[in-house]
Parts: sequence; structure tokens; C-alpha cells
Amino acid sequence: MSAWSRSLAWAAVVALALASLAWPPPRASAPAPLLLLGPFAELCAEVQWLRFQAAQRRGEEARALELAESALALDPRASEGWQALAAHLVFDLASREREPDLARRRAAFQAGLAVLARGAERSARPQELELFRGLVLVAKAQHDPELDPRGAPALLRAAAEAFERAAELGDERAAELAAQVRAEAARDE
Amino acid sequence: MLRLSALALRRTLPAWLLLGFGALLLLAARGSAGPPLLEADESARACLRALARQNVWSVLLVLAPLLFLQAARLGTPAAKAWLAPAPARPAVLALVLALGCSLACLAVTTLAALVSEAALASTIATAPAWRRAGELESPPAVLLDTAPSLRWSAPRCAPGRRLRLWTTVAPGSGPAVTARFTARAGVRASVVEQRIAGRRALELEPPLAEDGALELELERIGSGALLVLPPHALELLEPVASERLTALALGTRAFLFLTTGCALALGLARRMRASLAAATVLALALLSWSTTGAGGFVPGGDFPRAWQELGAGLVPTPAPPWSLAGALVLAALGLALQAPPSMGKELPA
Repeated sequence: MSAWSRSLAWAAVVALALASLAWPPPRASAPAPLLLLGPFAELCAEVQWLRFQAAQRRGEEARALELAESALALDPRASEGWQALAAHLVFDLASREREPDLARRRAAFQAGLAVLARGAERSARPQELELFRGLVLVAKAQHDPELDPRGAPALLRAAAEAFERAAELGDERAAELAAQVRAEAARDE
Repeated sequence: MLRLSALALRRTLPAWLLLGFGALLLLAARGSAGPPLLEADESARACLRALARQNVWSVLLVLAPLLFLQAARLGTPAAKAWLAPAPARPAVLALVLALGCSLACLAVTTLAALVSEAALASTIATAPAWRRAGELESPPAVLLDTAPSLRWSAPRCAPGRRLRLWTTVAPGSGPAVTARFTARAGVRASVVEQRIAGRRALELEPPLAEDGALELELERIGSGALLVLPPHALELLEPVASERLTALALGTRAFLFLTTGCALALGLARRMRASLAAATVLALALLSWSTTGAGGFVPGGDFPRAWQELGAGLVPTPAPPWSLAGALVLAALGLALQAPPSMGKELPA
């Protein structure tokens, strides 16, 4: 290899090194505690989920919800966490057997849907959360349609929209479910 | 001697440790400031404030092993070799070093108390805070369809106190049930009714009984799950002037625990390596936390109970007076271990 070609190769290496410094790969934006905890954030989130379960068992609902929120702040990419919190809100706290008061049930249900919406923005697998949202809405349309003032058809329409979003995001099962639920909503109307 | 104390303070709490501690405190305080997902009543808000306080104070517990290690490093023969020509007696030198460690413990405890209360400055309730005053007798029972109510008596309560009855539902018997808790004193009665779907407390202010006992009744209303009254279910709560007394209750325990631990680590470090001395003190602390009855006289030994009370949204009871005596005895033991002249071969730091 001639001296010229060796120099050219070295120049290319230096140029690439400088380029990687000048244009670093994009970093996911994260709050300060997350950046500080770094690789331990997921482990800390797991600990917070354990504390969430313990607080739930002790009947400390407000504390449990706060711990779940902190777990999600530490590890927002895990869709299982968003699903766990949303399921607690919509199936436990907004259940007819547990909470006879409709206004409080609706508040818990809306909070659960809001959690799923936030999760769909931040999670690594938003299609799972959209699919879960659709399933929640179908279940509530069947068993507690009063949760929406417009009744079961409105819940089914919202479920169909959620399934369609899940299908757009790449979930193979969701398109079929969307068509089925839309037909069900049309029959109810 | 004052300068030696200041040196011990700086060695026990060096700038890097103080800065790291401050940064972690601020992060812990900021991490607990989110709005609640659901509208919370006063009791739930008290629990959320308790969680925020726990987040901040837990940083101090994480720091404890480092403080013990720093104090132990101060007490090794190699670290104090330069003090050998000093005219002061070894006991006085040990006391001065321990005083510096104690000042470091006071500084970190005060900092944790200030940050925890400052973080909650805008959310402190106007409603009275509560403290656990004791436990009253209650018969453990399961309320079945055939016997849906249970009656028992309790001694009368002082005015302003509340009763808190913990209930739950039997696993597998259904998702929820309505429970009614009644306290009667003659013709007067106080009642609270709630839906129970897991462990949940029923709280009421009992009517004033001029003489005689309170008649208590727990009822299962309508159909649903089987209602369970677990053992040790009835607590007596008393009002306290302010929730901020939490900082005093936890701070006293933390200060006594850290100061005693540092004094012991300082003393043990004369006989063993600094890391082993710190680990021994930490192991003794864990032992006292897991030993029933140790909380009465071991400084910080009742920390888990106070932590549990705080988690339930209550102001922890003040540290037991005997723990101060225990702290003095243990600190004196640490000084006695540190004070005598070394014998035999000295270990490296």
C-alpha cells in the first residue's frame, strides 16, 4: 500500500471519528432522575411495582397509585406497566361491585383511559396498549355501559377506533377485531 | 479541641458526600410532587404527603452506612497516628472525635428534615393530623350470612380521639361488601358506612360517654363478600398539633441512630478494619430492627414501627425516652473501645 493511500485511509478514519462527535446519535429525552439512575432505572421501577402491590394489599389506594406513577416515570417504555395501572383503575376501582357510585366509577374509568393514552405516547409497544384499550372498552360496553353517558354504542365505537389504531401500528389481530366491533356497534344503534 | 471536632466533622461528612446527599434529597423531594390520578380525600392526601416524606427520609437511611464507614476511618490507629504526640488524654481525644461525628449526623438529619418539610410546604393540610395513641380490644371474626353483625365493648375515649377499625373481605367470597361501624354511648351514636373490597379502615369519632363503656358494632349490610375483622383491628387515634411533628419524631430517631452508630464504629475501628467496623454496626442495627422489644431502648430500634405509622398517614409517636439512655450507653461503649491505648500489633487503615 502506498503512502498516499495509507494517508487517505487515516484521514477517512479521523473524519469519521470527528463526524460521530459532531453528529451524535439522538438520545431519548428523560427526566433528571432517570438520567442519573441510568441502567438501574428498570430495576428501580421493578421495586416500585413491588411497593405498588404491597400498598394495594394494605388498602392504601392513593399510595399505590403514586407508586405506580413513579414506576412508570422510571421505566416508561414497558407497556406492561401502563397496562397494569390502567387495569387496576378500570377493572378494580371502576368495577360496579366495588364502587356503586357512578360518578366515582366514571372518574376511575376515565383516569384508566388517560393512563393508556399516555402510555401509547411513551411506550415502546404502543400497539399493545391500543389493543388493550379496545378490549377494556368492549368489556365495559358489555358489563357496565353506564360508564359512558351515551351508552354501549359509544363505548363500542371508541373500542373500534382503538383497534384500528392498533392495526395501523402493526398489530395483526386488531383489524379483524375492529370490523367485528364496528358491526356490533351498528347493531346496537 | 474545637478544631479537632471540626476536622472530625469534615472527615465524617466530606464535601462530596454532602453534595451527593443534597442532590439525592432534592431529587427525592421533586419526585413526589405529581398531581394524584384520582381525586383524593383528606386521608388519602395525608398518605401521599407521608409517601413524599418517606422518599426524602429514605435517602438518609441510604447514607447511614457511608457515615458509619467515614466515622470508622476516623478511628483507625493509622488515621489517628498524628494525634499521638498530643498532650490530651485518649478519652478526651475520643470524645472530641465522637463530637465531630455527632455534629455531622446532626447536619444531615437537619438537612433531611428541612428538605422534607420544604417540599410539602404548599400542601400541608389545615385538617388536624393524627397519631396512634394505642390499640383497643376487638374480637377477630368473620361476618357470615347467618350472623351478619358483631357487638363488643371498649373503654370510653377522651374527647377528640377517633377509632379506626381495619376490615377486609374473605378471599374467594366475592369482590366487595358494604360494612357499617357504629359506636354507641347511651342514646348517642356515631356511624360510618363504607364499601369494602380489600383491606380498608373505617374511622369515626365516638360519642362522649359520661360513664361506662362504648358499645361497638360492626355490621355486614346486604349481600356480598364475607366481611372479616382481623386480630388487632381496632386502633385509637389522637389529634396532634401539626403534621410537621413528623420531622421531629423521625429526626430524633435518625439522629440518635446515626450518632450511636458512628460512635460505635469509631470505637470498633480501633480493633478491626474500618469497613468491618461499619458493617458490624450496620448488622447490629438490622438485628435491632428485626428483634421484638428492642425498639424501646435501642436508639432507632423502633424505626420500622415509626415508618409504618408514617406510611399509614399518621404522625409517628415520639421516640421512646429509654432510647436516649440506650444511645448514651452505646456511645459510651464506643468511646471506651476507642479510648484505651492500643495493645499489640495495630491493623492498617
